[in-house]
Amino acid sequence: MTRAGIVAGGTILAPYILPSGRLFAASGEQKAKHVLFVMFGGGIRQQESVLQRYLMDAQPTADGANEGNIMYNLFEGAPPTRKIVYGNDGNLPGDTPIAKILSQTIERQGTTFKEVRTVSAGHYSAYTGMVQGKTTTTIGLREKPVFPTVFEYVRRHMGAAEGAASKVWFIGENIGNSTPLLNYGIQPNYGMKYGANFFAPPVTFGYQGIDSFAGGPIYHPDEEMKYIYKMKYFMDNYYRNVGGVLDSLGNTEMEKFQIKTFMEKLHRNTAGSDVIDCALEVMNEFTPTLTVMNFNGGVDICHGDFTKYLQAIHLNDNKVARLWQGVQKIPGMAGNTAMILCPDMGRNTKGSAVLDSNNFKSFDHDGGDPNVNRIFTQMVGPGIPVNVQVGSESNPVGNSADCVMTIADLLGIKQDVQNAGFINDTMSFLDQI
Amino acid sequence: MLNLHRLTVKVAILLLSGTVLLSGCKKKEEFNEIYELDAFNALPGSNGKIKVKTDEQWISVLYANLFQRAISTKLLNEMINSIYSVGDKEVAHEKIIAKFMVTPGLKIPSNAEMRQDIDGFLNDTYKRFFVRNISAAEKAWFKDYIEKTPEVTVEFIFTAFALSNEYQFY
Repeated sequence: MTRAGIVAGGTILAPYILPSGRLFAASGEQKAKHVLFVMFGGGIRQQESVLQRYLMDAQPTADGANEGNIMYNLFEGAPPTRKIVYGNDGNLPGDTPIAKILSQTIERQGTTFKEVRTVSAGHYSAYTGMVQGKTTTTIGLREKPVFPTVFEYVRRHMGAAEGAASKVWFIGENIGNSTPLLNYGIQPNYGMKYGANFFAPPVTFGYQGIDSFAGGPIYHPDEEMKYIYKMKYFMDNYYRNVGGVLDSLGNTEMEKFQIKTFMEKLHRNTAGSDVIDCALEVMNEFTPTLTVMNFNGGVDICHGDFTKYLQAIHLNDNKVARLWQGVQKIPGMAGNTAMILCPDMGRNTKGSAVLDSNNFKSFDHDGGDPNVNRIFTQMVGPGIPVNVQVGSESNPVGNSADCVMTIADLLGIKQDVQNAGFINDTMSFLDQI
Repeated sequence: MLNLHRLTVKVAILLLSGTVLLSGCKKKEEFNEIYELDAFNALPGSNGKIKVKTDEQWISVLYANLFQRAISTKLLNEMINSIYSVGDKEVAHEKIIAKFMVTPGLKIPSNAEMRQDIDGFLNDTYKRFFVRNISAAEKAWFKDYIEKTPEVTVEFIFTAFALSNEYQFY
């Protein structure tokens, strides 16, 4: 019997006793087997997204209403018919919209909260609020989240199998803006040992990752690696006497082998550096209980170029659609995965003096502008009502930080998360329908 | 006048301290002779390592240990970013070490050299990676393990050292 077999057998016979005292998964009703949470970042105004006003609000002209839906995979509504600049470059820049790929919009397939509030006017603190489930977040760049994140809740409270390290993933669009720091917080009873595996595909699988990681031997834990680990653990035992203990993410030897092998596969495939392709590859390989993604696809360029912002929003609509379509082709995830989609924040009401090539005004995101706090949220998949719209411009419902309790709700650990005592000001979106 | 007096006092204290130190050293040597002990520098196990190395320090030191030269700034920056882009640092470290093991210019002893003089190899390896002398307990265990395990190579041993917790500290 191999070492891996012995370990697997031991796991079956004597399940890992979680620090919470639980042997198996939470007893709450699990509505979805898997959750995909897309932090749809960069700062997207309601006006150009769910409200479908295209140029009408942001760049008003004397020739009337240039309105329409440029996110037609997500929302119901006809696209604009005039002054088309939001697509790919054709004869003219941006004149070729990307074809719709979902037969039914996410709005039709699931529930849309049309007017939601966000946690912060800054990207990182907004993301932090979305993974911590707290509306009160004062954190600066280069700091780990203070409170437990949704990754830690899932790993700690889902039981040994569904909460294994390789079952919880965070895919970041890049390593800027302190994104890699979001994979766990610093609470002593949670922390790194319950953290998420993380990749930033453009770096991990781009030229930097290839130069750093690709091509070396990948030793199997039952073969070469068993000698290496034996010597390492001997030295670690010796060093432990003087206090040298390091926390780790808790991937088992077999999980680490699987991750390394997976990385090598993606290093040989240039598509690995694309954030959507990589996320789909991760889900295909690991069938995670929780996959969290952040991508803005250049949306934040709106600080200086409104046209490219429109193009990025339109492209992101396509990316989410590709993602959702891809999930439905993954064995083990198709049909039992819920997706939550939530922007990090909006942008200002009024444009700045910076003009782009179309003479469009740019839009920043300042803390004092209430338009920055306005976002939408969508949910789709098992356990989520179909074709339901909640809230309106005059009736906001929900907060971006509610995503954590929603994920906990979908995975059946809501009570455990509440009992942990860190979240007291947010609730599941499902409880707000 | 007062300054001159102070200077004289300082010189006297220095001379006195020097005498005490010299006599102390001499006393230790005599002690060894009396009890037939070999003089040696016994370093504590950890050699005072209490701070975790940054990614930059870990890569730089590892590269120098394996290639006997400094890493280029370009590769160093790429590797720092790459480690930052992977959630499990152990996985990232294992991948980087494996990559180094197949990179041209690697300067490590051959397996034959190791097995010819295991004592010498272990002494050198502990100094190379941990910047300290190997303890008797460590040497006994490692020597026994290497002798009884023909599958163990220099590459495996160096990988184990680079992954060890002690190597993450300075």
